[in-house]
Amino acid sequence: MKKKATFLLLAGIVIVLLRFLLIKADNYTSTNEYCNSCHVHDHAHTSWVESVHYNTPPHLKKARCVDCHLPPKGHGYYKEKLKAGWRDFYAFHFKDSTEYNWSEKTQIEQARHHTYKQSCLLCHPKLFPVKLSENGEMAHWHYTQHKNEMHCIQCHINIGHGNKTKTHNLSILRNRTQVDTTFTEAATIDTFETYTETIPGSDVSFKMMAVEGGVLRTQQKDTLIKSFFIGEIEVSWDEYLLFLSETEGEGRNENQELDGISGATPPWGNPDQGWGFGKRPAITMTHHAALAYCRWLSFKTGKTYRLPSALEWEFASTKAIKNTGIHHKIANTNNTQTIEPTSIQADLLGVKHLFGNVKEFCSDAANANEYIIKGGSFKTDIKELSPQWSETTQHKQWLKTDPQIPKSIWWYSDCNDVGFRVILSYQPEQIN
Amino acid sequence: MSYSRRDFINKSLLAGSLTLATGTLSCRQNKKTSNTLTKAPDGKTLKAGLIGCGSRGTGAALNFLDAGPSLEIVALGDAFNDKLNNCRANLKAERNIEVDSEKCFVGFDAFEKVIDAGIDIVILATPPVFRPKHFEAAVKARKHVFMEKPVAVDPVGVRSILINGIRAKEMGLSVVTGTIKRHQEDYLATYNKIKQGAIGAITSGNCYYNQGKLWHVNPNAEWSEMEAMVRNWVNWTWLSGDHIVEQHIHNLDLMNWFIGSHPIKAIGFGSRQRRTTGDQYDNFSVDFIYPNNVHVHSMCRQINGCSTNVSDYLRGTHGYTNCENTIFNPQGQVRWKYPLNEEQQNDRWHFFWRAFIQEHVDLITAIRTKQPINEAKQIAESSLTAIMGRISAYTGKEVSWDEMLNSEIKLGPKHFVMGDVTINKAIPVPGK
Repeated sequence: MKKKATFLLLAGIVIVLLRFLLIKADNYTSTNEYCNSCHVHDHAHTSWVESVHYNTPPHLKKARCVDCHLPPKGHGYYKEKLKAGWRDFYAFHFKDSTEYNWSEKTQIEQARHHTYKQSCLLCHPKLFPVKLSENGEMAHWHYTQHKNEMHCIQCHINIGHGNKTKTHNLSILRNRTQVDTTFTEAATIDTFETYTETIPGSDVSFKMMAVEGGVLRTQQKDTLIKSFFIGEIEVSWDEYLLFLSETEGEGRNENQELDGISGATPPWGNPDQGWGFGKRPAITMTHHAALAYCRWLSFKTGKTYRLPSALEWEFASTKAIKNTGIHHKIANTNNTQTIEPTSIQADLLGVKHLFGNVKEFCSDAANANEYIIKGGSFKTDIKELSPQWSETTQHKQWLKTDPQIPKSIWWYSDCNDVGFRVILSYQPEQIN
Repeated sequence: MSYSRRDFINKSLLAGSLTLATGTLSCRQNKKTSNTLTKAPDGKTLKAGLIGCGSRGTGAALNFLDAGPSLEIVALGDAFNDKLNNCRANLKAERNIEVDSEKCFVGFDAFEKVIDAGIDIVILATPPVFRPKHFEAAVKARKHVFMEKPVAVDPVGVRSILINGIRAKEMGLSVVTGTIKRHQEDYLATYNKIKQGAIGAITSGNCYYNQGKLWHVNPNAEWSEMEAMVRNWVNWTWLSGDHIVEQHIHNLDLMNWFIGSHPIKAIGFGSRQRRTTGDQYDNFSVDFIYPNNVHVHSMCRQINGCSTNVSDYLRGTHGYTNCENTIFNPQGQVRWKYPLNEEQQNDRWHFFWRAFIQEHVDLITAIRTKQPINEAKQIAESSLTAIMGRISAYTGKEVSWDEMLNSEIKLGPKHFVMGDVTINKAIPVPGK
């Protein structure tokens, strides 16, 4: 009897001690210092210090690593902590941290796996604070209707690290690179040679490279492709912003008509993803918007610019890499964002970024709602790419977080690696 | 007395609907069957402001004063001086209350001034088109709200109510609305029986608001078009939502409440046969389809000289109910009837009149016991249910809940000023 009591007493003491130690250990391993002791990427710490989650008002605590990167207690906290601890332990001792693509881990697709919605909501339970803007109201209303599919960071991606917060920027037009020259007329084509198109009344110009026609051999059949000109670069923000500034509707419902071209509405969010405008490819516009751009450009220049067909695209890209293959000097792939054309070599046609950078719209419809896209993007693995590579647009998927009603027909909210380039048929009979 | 007209109509209507109840009044019981308070508890004086001083507004103000101790009406607002003065005179005559002339405001912006007049509670009783703006302003100013049904005339207004309803909840405010049946003792008792399975699973329903013509106000040479419209508001869709929204909402709200869901689609007919002013229809017949393919047939009519009927039925696998006070077995024999005490038996209107006050008792009790209630979502959904029926009848098309929830339809002029009203006044023609 006495033995049993002693045993129980001892067991009790051990349990209390263990519990005490466990709490201690949990607290110790939850400090920022502990996280930093093996999270060798300093930038995570420095960018956190720049963020609003560090620079909190005096009456609020700073958010610690574990406040966002682990779920709250009661929502799988210990399970995730063990998992993360084990993963980090393994990585610290057996992997080379310099080989990690850290910036890739900051993109939504990856960030959502190590940032927890429940943790956001624990500190931010109110979706509609009194001072919330009208756009914010619309966005949070959209969230209430799609709670299960959405994560806070889909819109608030930069809120925890860095000082960029995603804003609903309703006028991006001021971001256009300004040059002094103003072109008075469009280019005239005298011969079948590369030329520079100049958009009248603007300082915007771009090169069109001549591609001589021929036979495209595919497994199914041989197709005769007529000669055409193809844009040296993917349509840039400079070109696209000019289109917007001349056609953009005032509000969502205004349909300004510019000789049959109805104006795009202002974008929701930051269409450049914060990467910059200028000669980088314009991205996130819908296929519908790309077609409107072609109509506008044709109207401005008196030519018939259009999207390439998938076969034309394939024909040009086959020529562009003949005997060289696709390599990193001509393709921006396995990356986290678009780059400028000056950062890359031209291919055999003198064209840049046919492969990688952004997926490019073709004129061919894949089905009732979707279109063919070619060339892969900065996200694609270079080993997968070829002239035959093709995907289709994913209209619904790419508009998931757009809270507007109805959703925009001009901008994709959730696809940051699609753009387009223009081509022009060579019509010798029209050349003097 | 400006409010007598509406009261008379209400009485004569209910005379029809309550004849059922007179048939089998055999139970003589004095015991109280529910534990809802009939008077709100005392507490710190609560001051209310009334926005919309017509007959219902005046009635609501009196109901508020009757709900418990230490309650005051201290501010009034209306678009028209004569309406405000009538209300003021009635409050004086009925309850010997003098509302300070400095806290009486006239004009379309009166609501802002009432909300700012040092009050705790706002009573919103204007025509429903104004409700979303007023509700938003009240919630943002941290006021508790009593608002009359319906709460919007279009989907855009409904969304605003839903958003500000969530906001009110986040702020701990109480919101009660004028769908009285939800505060009426016999309906509540019947509801509990149905929830406990008294008629099994609900399979279908019918609801009716078939009555004679409601009132109208002819234009006066001294009035602007806006003034003439607002004074004649129950005949204009942009102001009232049409009678399916303005009046039949009582029945549709009851269906949503008992079934436990809003419908997922509607297909309806309607037309305008005898109405002399405005642009509304005067009859609707709508098939509402709820989850599990439960159909509710709804009818409403405002034409003199036709059969009248204001009632509701829900059928289940084990019987049916009038939702108000009686449960029948499948063969039509009474299985249960709400037990009445002597006072209740001698006054057929007992529950009906009681409910108008009970709404305010429930509101004040929630505020004083710090247990907020919030009816914004349910009334927004009931309003949208009725709007869905109206739009289906106007267009001749089947309309889904999702379409409605995401619709951009917004009625009425952009700005409210006394003058000409530039809106489409054509009477809707289905199929066009």
